Amino acid sequence: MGKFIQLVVDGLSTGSVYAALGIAHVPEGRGTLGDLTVRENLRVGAYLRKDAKGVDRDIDYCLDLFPNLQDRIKSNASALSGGEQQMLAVARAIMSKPRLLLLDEASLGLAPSTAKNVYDAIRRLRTESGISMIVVEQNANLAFTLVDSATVLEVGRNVLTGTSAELKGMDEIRRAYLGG
Amino acid sequence: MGKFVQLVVDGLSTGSVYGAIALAIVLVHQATGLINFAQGGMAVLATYVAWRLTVNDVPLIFAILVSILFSFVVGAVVERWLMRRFERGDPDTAVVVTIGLLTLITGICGWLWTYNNQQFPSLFPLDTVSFLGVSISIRSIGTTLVIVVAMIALQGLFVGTKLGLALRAVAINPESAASSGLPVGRLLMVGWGLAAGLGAVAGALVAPQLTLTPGMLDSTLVYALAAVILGGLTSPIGVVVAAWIIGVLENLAAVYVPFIGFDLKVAVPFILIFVVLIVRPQGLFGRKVVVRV
Repeated sequence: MGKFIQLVVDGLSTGSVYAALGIAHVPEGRGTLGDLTVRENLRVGAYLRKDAKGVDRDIDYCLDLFPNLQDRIKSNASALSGGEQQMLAVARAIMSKPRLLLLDEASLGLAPSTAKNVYDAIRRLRTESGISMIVVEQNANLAFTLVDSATVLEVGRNVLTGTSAELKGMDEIRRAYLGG
Repeated sequence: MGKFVQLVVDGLSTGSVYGAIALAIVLVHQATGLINFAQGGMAVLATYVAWRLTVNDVPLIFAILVSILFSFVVGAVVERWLMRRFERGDPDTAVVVTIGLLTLITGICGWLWTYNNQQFPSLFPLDTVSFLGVSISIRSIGTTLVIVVAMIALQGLFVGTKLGLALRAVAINPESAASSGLPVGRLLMVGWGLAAGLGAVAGALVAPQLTLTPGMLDSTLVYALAAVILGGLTSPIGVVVAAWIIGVLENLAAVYVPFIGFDLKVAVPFILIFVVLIVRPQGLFGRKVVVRV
């Protein structure tokens, strides 16, 4: 029997293991359900929760965090722009009240200003909710605005680990990842 | 004029039965991406259960309710222990499996209850009512009404409940739905169960007219598939409207187009399908799949 953190995982998909452990995953690409409206996507995110009032409150919170979604609340997710879909994917993930949030390339394919908006909102979420986050990000400038500590991977190997401040101060990091 | 109205109402009634089976096919297709050719066969099995109960003096309405429940369970079991092994694989294989299932169910019904025609009691009186000087059969009106109510109830379930939202989420993307903690397997079972339950309703409504045989719904399945193509696989309301159009046109063509008559009326929906597939391949009410990249 395969076990992972005391959970029998035989026959379970990665997604349901995450859900059972309170891990929310924002996958690379679009983590949204295209034929459902924005509000329905958020409700699906809260599927395992039993506190109806808390869910309504958190939907309002998400819409406050991502005001763009407020205007598109009744649109299908597939009709949103790339940036809005990414915001919805993050919002859907936090609707489950996760203990840990995994963000995979949240800036991928977004215009720089949109990517910054997404990260600004995630930073606000971090400050206000205190959810732990693991962030995978190619855009080091953006990543450093959010994280406490970072690990640099090269071809899958850990080559450098340190706090944000330490890494930002290093010359080779500045040259290789921060554009000077 | 009276004849015309009577033909239209009767057409709506047979169209409703096609529509119920078509709706069941769309339900299953939305959940699992498969066309279930055994949908009619499963409905016949449920109708036999209802019939067997009425033979033992169980009141008809109660017998039908039991058969709907029975059918729900059969649908769920078929999904869990038969179709699930084929859902992720080649869709052609899965479709052939459902055709095999149809043959198997038909065989089981024939083996248990013979291939003779059995009389099935009607839910509605066989009288007619006069409306503005036109006499209309109560059974036709009743059949149409029951299917309309079933449709509205299903629509309400899908749009207004958490279960319905979960079923739609799983239909769109099972992997993504699972990451929010949705029990994908159980929801697929519910989807198949609902479809099978709807089939049982259709079977009980049409059995008094056709008399119950193991192959009772074979031709209905053909019409239902026609409705599915006509209405578009993505539109539950569309397929029911298409089924009504087919039922009514078929009836009218048989009487008013001299060379068609009752022998050729089966061709009417297929001529419609050809035209629709050429002019509007996504169906009358379906939408083209648009993906934003």
